[in-house]
Amino acid sequence: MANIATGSSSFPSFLPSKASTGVFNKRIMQTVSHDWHEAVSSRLEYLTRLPHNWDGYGGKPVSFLLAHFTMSMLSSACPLGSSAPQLVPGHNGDLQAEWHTLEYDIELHVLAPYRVTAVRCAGDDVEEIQLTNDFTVVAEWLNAMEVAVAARQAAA
Amino acid sequence: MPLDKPPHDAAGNVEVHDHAGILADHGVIRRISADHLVDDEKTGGKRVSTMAFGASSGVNGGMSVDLEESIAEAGLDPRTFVISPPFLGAVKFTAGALRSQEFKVGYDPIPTNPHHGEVWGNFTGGKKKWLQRNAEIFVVPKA
Repeated sequence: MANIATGSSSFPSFLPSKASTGVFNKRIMQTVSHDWHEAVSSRLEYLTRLPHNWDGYGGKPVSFLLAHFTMSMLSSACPLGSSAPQLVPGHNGDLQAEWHTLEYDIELHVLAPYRVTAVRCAGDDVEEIQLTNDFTVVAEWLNAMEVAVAARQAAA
Repeated sequence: MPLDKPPHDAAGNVEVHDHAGILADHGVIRRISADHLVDDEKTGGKRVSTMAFGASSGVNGGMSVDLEESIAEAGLDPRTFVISPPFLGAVKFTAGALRSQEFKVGYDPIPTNPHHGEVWGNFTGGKKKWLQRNAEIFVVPKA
């Protein structure tokens, strides 16, 4: 279990402890090793080095703190075998992790550490929820996306 | 005809407004970077991310845009004007289309850009998706 606030292996003190939850079944910064870890890490590093005014309207680079949180969030939220996210910078030093398939668009707008707007679109249906440190719903969305893709590919 | 000066608050910040001089068929241009492009199976290639559309932080922060009529009336080519820095591209809406989604389209000239405007509104996931789907490519960004 990694503590994204400090990078230590201790459990964040502001989160429910293993003892209080019994079985630890929520995706609260539970890190998993993905095959896209290096690529995502490199992309985050690039985003922290964007020049000032990179977007023509005075845009700022992604902060190191936000990049660090995002890496930990993705490691926690994404089930093993899930597709690599695409990372897009925002004007205010924020960023968005995105997945796009024929069935779904999933977007995690990271405004600040522990302040994430999650959006899932399926056709014209749009779900939007605010997240802090529990990304269970994101794991469910990504699982549903991967299942839909696999079903489509099996039917083809 | 040049646009009338926009309203400002006591601190000098432009106030949220819907400028009467920006007509429904006037072009509202949003600069985009190659970093805003994502792969999407639905389009079979690259498209602009919803992340290209959102408000700036700060007092009365809206989404920065360039006003096409203002640029053209100054004798400049809008396609050339908006690709600064030079690697940028741009997408375009009409003011009327933005207003149909309950956005306000205002004028906010700044020292570095006398044709700068703002789009104010509630940039929810649904609205950002509408902006992404209805953005007309004006200049393709260079990677």
